[in-house]
Amino acid sequence: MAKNHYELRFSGTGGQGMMLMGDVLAQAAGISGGKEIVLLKSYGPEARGGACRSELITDEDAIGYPALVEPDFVLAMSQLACDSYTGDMNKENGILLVDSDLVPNVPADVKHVYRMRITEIAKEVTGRPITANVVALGAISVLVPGFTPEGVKAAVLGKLAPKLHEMNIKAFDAGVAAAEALK
Amino acid sequence: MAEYKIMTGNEALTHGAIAAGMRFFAGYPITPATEIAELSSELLPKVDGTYMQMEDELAAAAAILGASAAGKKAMTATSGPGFTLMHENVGYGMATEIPCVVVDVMRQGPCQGVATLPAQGDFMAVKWAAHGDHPVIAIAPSSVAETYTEIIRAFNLSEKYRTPVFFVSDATLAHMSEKIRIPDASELEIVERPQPTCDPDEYLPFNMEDNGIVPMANFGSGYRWFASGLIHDDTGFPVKTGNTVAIEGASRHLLGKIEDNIEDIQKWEEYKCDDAEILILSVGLVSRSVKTAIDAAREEGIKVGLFRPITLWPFPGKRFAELTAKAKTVMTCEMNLGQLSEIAAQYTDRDQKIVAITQSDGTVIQAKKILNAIKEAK
Amino acid sequence: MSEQHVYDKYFRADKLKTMWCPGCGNGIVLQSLVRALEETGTPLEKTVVISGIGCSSRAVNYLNTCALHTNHGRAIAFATGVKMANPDLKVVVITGDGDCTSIGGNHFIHACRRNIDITVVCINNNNYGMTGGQYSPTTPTGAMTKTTVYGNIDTPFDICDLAGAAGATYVARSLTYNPVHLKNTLKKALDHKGLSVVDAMSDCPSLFGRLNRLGDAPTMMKRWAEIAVPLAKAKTMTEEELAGKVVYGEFTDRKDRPEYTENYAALRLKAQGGK
Repeated sequence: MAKNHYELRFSGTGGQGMMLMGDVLAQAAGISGGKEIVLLKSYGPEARGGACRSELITDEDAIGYPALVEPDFVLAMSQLACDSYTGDMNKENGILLVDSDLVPNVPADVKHVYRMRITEIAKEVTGRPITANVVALGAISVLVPGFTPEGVKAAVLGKLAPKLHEMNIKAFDAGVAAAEALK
Repeated sequence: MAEYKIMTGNEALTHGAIAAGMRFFAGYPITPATEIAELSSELLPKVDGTYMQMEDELAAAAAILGASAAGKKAMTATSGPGFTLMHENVGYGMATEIPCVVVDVMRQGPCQGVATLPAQGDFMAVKWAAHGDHPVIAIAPSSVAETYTEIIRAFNLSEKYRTPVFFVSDATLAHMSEKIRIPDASELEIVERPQPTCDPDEYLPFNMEDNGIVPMANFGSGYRWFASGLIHDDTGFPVKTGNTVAIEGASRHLLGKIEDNIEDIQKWEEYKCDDAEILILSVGLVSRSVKTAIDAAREEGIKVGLFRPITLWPFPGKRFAELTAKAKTVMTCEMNLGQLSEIAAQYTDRDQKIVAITQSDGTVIQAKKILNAIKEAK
Repeated sequence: MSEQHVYDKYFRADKLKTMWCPGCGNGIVLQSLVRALEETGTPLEKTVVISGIGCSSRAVNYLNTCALHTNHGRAIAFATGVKMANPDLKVVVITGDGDCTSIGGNHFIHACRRNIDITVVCINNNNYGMTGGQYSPTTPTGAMTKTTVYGNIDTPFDICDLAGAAGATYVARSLTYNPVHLKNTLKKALDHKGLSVVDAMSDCPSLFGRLNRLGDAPTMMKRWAEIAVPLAKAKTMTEEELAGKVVYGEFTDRKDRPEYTENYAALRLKAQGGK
C-alpha cells in the first residue's frame, strides 16, 4: 500500500538524465496524481560530472521539512552513486533499484534490492544508452507504490519532443516488462 | 484560466514579478539568485520589458530606481555579497520614495560564506539595509506557491507606499520545485502606479505633512520634478541646514507612512496557536520543519504552535505579544545564530523563557531536532 | 513678458543664486548647457538631468527639468535605468572628475562600452571641491592638494582617452575659458546618438587654485590662453612643446557603433518572434 509520505532519490553520473527523472515523476505525481511534491536537484559542479542526484517527496498533505529524511526509494545508476546515496535510506521497507552492470556492490543491509540491466536493456531496444533513464522510469512505475505505468508514460512523453516519442516508448515499455519480471 | 505547474522558487518569483507588472530588471549574476536574472532576460523582452545586466550590484540598484522614476515597475535580485553593495542606492530609493523590489536569496554568510547553501543570516541586514533611520518593508515566503503570490504583494506594497520592498528567500527555496497554482490574471489584485492629475505647475512630488504619499509622476509625462538623496521638503529640494523642524519632519515622515499603514502591510500565519503553551517564532522555509515538529509534538499531547511572520518587517509584534502573553515558553527556530530570538525578547515578559533553536551549517533544520527541543523545553 | 529671458524657462528661479564659490567654472558650464539645450531644441518635458555628488553635481538643482541628484558616482547607472525604461527621454548626466572617474569609474567605462544614448558632461576642476580640495584622478602629477601636501605622485587619467578607449562614440574636451566652443561642443554631444562625453575643463580658484598658487579667478582664467591648445594645432607640436598643455577639441566622433537602446529594441523584436 502506498503510504502518505514518500521519498525518492534518483542518483547516477552527470549525463545519465537523473534530473529529467525527477521532472517526469514530479509531473506524474504532482500534476496528474494531484499530490503535493517537493523536487530537489543537485547543483553546481556536482551536476556536471561525478555523482549527481535529484530527489522527490510526494505527499497527500502539505509537505513540511522540504528534504529527504529516510528515502523510501533509491535508484543508483553508478557504483559511486550507490556508495554515496544509500546510507540514509529505509533499509527495512525501502526499495533500492540498481543498474546491475554498473553497480556490482549493493549494501547488504537493504532488504529490497532490485537488480536490473537498465543500460543494457536501453541499448537492446533503442540502440541508445541515453534512454536508460526512461527504462528506469518504466521500472519505477511498476515497482514504486503510488505510480502507474500509464501516468508515468504520459509524463515522459510530455517532457520530450514528439520526434523522440517512438524511441522512448520502446525504452519505457521495456522497463515496465523487466520490472514485471522481477516482481 | 488558472493552471497548476511545477517550478522552482526562483522561477515562481520571476513569473510572479512579471504578473505583478515588472517590466524592468537590472542585476548582476550571483548564486543562488542567478536564475531570476536568466529567466527575466528571456521573458521581459517578450512583454516589451527590459533586462539589464549591469557592471555590479551598485549599478543594478541604481538602474532599477532610474527605470522606476521613468515609469516602469522594477526589480533586482541578489544574494548576501551583492545585497551588501546595494544598500547605498536602496537608501536613495527610501529617501526619494521611489518604488522598487529588491530580492535577497539568502545564502550562508558572512562575506562569501557558502554560495550554494541556504541560510537566514540576513534578517537584520534587511532591516538595517541603509544607514540612518529608514522605512523597511520585507516579505519572507515559505513555499514556492507563496513566493509567487507574495512577490506580487511586494510590488503592490512598493507602489502603494512609494518605497523599496525587500523580498527574502533562501538558496533551498530558490532551487526546489513545488506544485503551484498560477492564478488567472483576472484573479490577481495588481496595484498600478497612480499619476498626478493636478496642474503640472502646482505638482509637488512629496508631502511630508500627514505622512502623505503623493502619486509619483513618470519622467517625461509633463510633470517636472526633482529628487535628492539629501533631506528635502515637499518640492524635493534640500532643506536648509538650520531648519531643524523640517529635517526632523522629513525623517519622521518616512517611518510614519509605514506606521500609518501597518495593518495593511503586516501579514502572518498562526498555526495551532489557540491553546499553545509553547509558541515558536519562525520565518520562511524552515517554518515548515517547525510545522512537522508541531504535528508530532501534539500527538504526544504537547500544546505547541507556530507564529510565522510573512511580513518580516515591520515585525507583527502586537499580535506576537498577545500570543506570547498566553504561552509559558517562547521558542524561535531560525537558520542563523539567534537573530529572531533578540526580536522575541522584545515581546515577552522578562521572566519568560526563550529557547532559540539555531543552526548555521548550510542545511534546513530538521523536524526531529525541533521536536527534541520542544520536548526539552516543555 | 518682455522681462522674460529666453533661457529663464530652463532655470528654477527660486533656487538661484547658486551655491558655488565666486570664480567657479560650474556656472559657465551650466549656462553653456542651457544654451545648447535651447539651440538643439531639446524639449524640457522630455529632458532628464542626473547627477551624483560634488560641487558640479549641484547643477541639477537649478535646472527646470526632471532631475535626480543621486549618490556619489552613481549618476550614470541611474541614467542608464532611466534611458532604458524610456528611450524617448533626453538623458544628460552632470558629473565631476572625482564623481565620474574615481568612485563612478566603473559605471562610466561600461556606459561607454554599451554606447547608450546619454550625454555625460564632466566638469573637470582637477580636485574634490565639495570636501575641501583633495586630489582626484585628474589632478596633475606634482600638484598640491589637501591630501597631496608633498605633491601628487599619481598619474592622472585623460578622461577623453579613457572614454574613447572604452567605446564612447562622441568624445570632446572643451573649456570654460571658451564658452562658445563649450556650447557648440555640448550641442554636438546632445545631438549625437550614442554615449557622448564632454570633458569640460574648469577652475576651482578657492581650492586647487589657491593650493597651487595659481592666483585669483581672473588670473586662473587667463592661464588657459597659455596652456589650452586646439587639437589641430597640437598635432603639429612636439611632445616637449605639449608638456603642461591641455589639448581641446573633438577626439572621437564615430558612427560605426550601434546605440544600445536601439540594439535592445531589435532584441525585443527577435524575442517576440520578429513580428
